[in-house]
Amino acid sequence: MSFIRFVSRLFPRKKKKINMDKLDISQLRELTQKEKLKPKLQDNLSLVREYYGNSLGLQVRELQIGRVNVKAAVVFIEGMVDTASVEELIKVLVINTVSSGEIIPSGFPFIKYIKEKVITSTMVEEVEELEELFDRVLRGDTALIIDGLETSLTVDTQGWKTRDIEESDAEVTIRGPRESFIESIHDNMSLIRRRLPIPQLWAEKFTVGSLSRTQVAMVYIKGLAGEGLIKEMRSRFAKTDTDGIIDSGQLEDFLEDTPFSLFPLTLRTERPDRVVAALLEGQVAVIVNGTPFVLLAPVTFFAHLQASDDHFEKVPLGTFIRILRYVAMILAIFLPGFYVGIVNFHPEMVPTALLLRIASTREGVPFPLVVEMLLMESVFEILRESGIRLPASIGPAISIVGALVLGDAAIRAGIVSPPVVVVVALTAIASFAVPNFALGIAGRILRFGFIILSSIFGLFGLQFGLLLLIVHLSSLRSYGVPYMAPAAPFIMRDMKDNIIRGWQWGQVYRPKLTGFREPVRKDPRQARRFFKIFPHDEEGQDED
Amino acid sequence: MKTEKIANRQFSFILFIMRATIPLATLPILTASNARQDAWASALLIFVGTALTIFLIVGLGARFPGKDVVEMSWHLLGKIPGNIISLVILWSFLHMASLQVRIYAEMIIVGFLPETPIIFLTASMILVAMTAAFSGVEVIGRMSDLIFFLFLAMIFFSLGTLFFEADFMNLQPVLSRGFEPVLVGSVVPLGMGSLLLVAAMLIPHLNNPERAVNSALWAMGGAVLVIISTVLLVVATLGPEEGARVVFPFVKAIGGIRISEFLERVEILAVFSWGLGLFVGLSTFVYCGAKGAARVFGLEDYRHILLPMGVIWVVLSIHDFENVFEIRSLLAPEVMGPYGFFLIFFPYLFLWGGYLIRRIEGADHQEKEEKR
Repeated sequence: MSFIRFVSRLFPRKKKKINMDKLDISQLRELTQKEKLKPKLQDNLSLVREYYGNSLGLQVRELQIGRVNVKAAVVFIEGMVDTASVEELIKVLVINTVSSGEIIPSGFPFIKYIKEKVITSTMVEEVEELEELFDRVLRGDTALIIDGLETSLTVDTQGWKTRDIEESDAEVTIRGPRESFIESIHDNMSLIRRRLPIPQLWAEKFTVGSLSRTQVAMVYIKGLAGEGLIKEMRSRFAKTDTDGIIDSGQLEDFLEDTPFSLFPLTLRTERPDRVVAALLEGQVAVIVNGTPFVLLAPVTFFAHLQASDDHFEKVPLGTFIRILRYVAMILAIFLPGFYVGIVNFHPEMVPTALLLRIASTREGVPFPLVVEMLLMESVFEILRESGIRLPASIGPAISIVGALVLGDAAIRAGIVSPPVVVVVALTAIASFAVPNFALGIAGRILRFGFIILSSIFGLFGLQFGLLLLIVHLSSLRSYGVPYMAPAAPFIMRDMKDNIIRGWQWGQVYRPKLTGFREPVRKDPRQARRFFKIFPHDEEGQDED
Repeated sequence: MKTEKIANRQFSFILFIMRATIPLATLPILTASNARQDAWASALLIFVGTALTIFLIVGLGARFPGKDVVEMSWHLLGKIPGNIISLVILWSFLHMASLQVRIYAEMIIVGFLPETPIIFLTASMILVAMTAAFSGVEVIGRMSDLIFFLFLAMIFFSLGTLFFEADFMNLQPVLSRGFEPVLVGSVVPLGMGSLLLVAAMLIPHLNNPERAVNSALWAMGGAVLVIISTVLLVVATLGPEEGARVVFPFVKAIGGIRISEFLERVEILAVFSWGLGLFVGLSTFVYCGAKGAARVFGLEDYRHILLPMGVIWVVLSIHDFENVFEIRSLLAPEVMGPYGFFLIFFPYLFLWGGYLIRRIEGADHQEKEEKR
């Protein structure tokens, strides 16, 4: 055998040159996965260069380690690494190995020596496969390839520019924490960890996307979130097969229960305080690298109508604001349809004076009321959509066009009647009172359906539509939790923090459907300490 | 397949809503009888009669908690007689649902949308009910949770407005015509009690079937309260003579109300609450009917026959009656009484008979086994 090996070494087989141009991406990926590191340094370096296509940013710094001048190379990508830490790494490799004068004990593997006695970085790992090496280097690690070894070391030198932690634009609060998530998953995790410093805060790692290799973390409090929920979430992650996700919104599609629904079945938030509050109730958060939006599941309809402020303001205030929001949501969905139905089919319900006024303003308007309403609603939707993506410098122009031309001029020209404009404006404002954008959009789309229904059947159309909506909402589930809980199924205990907002000391129980593993949150008796109908009777004698 | 479960509370809500919708829809059957101003006394009798019906229907169902009425009849009577008995019950679902749809559609047409073809209304209502039934009994249960409070609020509001308008002198003299008209007046509502047959289909879906009788009785108690207060207030508002004459007395009574300058003709609220309640009833009927029919014909999933059944429903709702007055003649005591009682008692006489015979036999078997 040894003879054959000897001969084959004398006549080395010509390595088949791979033509990279002819391979498609999936073949290239497969090829990378097969490749292992070679013993010779130069082979490895050319391998790296070949697969990386010598693209911009690849830095290979060759050096010699120790007194015996072992050849080695440091490979990293510029812009992904913190230059100071790479310099530090090179310094310890080149200088410390020489100056310390230490002799490697015989039988002590060289790689172990470098790893344990030389490198001072916090994270060092051994890598044998090319794919893993690329995986790490492209995430900002630095690879140390040493001549004669088939194992390379990767050292954590990550350092790139991220956005500062700022206040959230989409979810503004008046009172409450201002921090919001940013695009980096580690910073986001730290924002949560700082608020929940317990080891039971678990974050399971997943990598989603065959090309984007996006890091995703599933965060929950072990022992509080239901194991069934966690298992289901894991299985849905396992089923997720895609080439890449850029935002949590794309992952949402894979995680949701009912694809054909206008209503959001997971809650997106930018606010760490919101996530922590949800975790404390036994929910699971999904953090996706590269986006500030964290997904919460399972989530109910009423959760979408809550804002963090509700919990930070005084109780009567919080309750009032919440009820106001429900009213706004109902107005945003039903008001235009109600107006169309009542004016077209049930004029007897309108007070006579108002009816005459409406009739007089409608005089000379060429369209039927439904057309008028649909027209104005669509115009408003277009205005809103164009307003979002407009550069700030053109913004005022649109508001002038919207307010003056489409509102005032349309009425003067007799194309629409003023009450319709009032109704459209009112619904528009009401729809913005819904704190969740996704739910607000759902309400806006439904509005059109209700306008059409009530133009056919009057208020009965509204009723049929309402019933269909109720059927749909009752049939939705988010990870097994009924969407309309705690209203349907009716859970009295959970009413305290959904329809109204109760006092903190009164919120003794966690939500029944998510926090069932430990329903009692705090001492149930403490409410007595804080709530006394006649506070002066029970206290002892005064100081005198 | 996992059986869908609903809470006993939801079961109560469903039955309550179904029963409490009746006086809104078919109040004339109470006020139009000879009892006139004593209609409330008939309503009291309804409670006693309905309670008996509950013991008859739900009481037997609770003894076989895992079986709906079709399986129960197979078990007690054998396959073919069981199927015949089940078909009678299924027919009652079909007929009651089409009757209720028709009454509601007639009311809409008479009161609000005189030019709309009636088939549009009945068809769209049945379509909505089918959507609910398609989603399953859990969804119907949750729907009833949501609608119960809406329904209650609207009923309270409309009855509250009536309260200030009512002239309670209209209720006098009490029992002036003796007790017989009161007794006769309660016959039709009791006949309508055949809607309780849905309970027999719902029992296997309950979380706690052993307490089904309890839940049903609570529901009936609440519903009878609503019926009594509605009857009292409507008769007191309209007076006994007009109450007997008008087709939809409840709507009529509320229609006359004016609260300050800007709130008048609020009868749409009453109609809405009726409509909401009706849909819960309707979707339960559709679900139970389809489920039962699927059982009888040996289908795996009831959802496949929902659409054809819906078509039959629409046709039935149109062709059953020429007009409102035919509905009224169906709801006369001499017609609806025997018909309704037949629907309840015919199947349950056999089922109870079968049960008792089996029980005696079963007891014998047990004794024999013990002797061995």
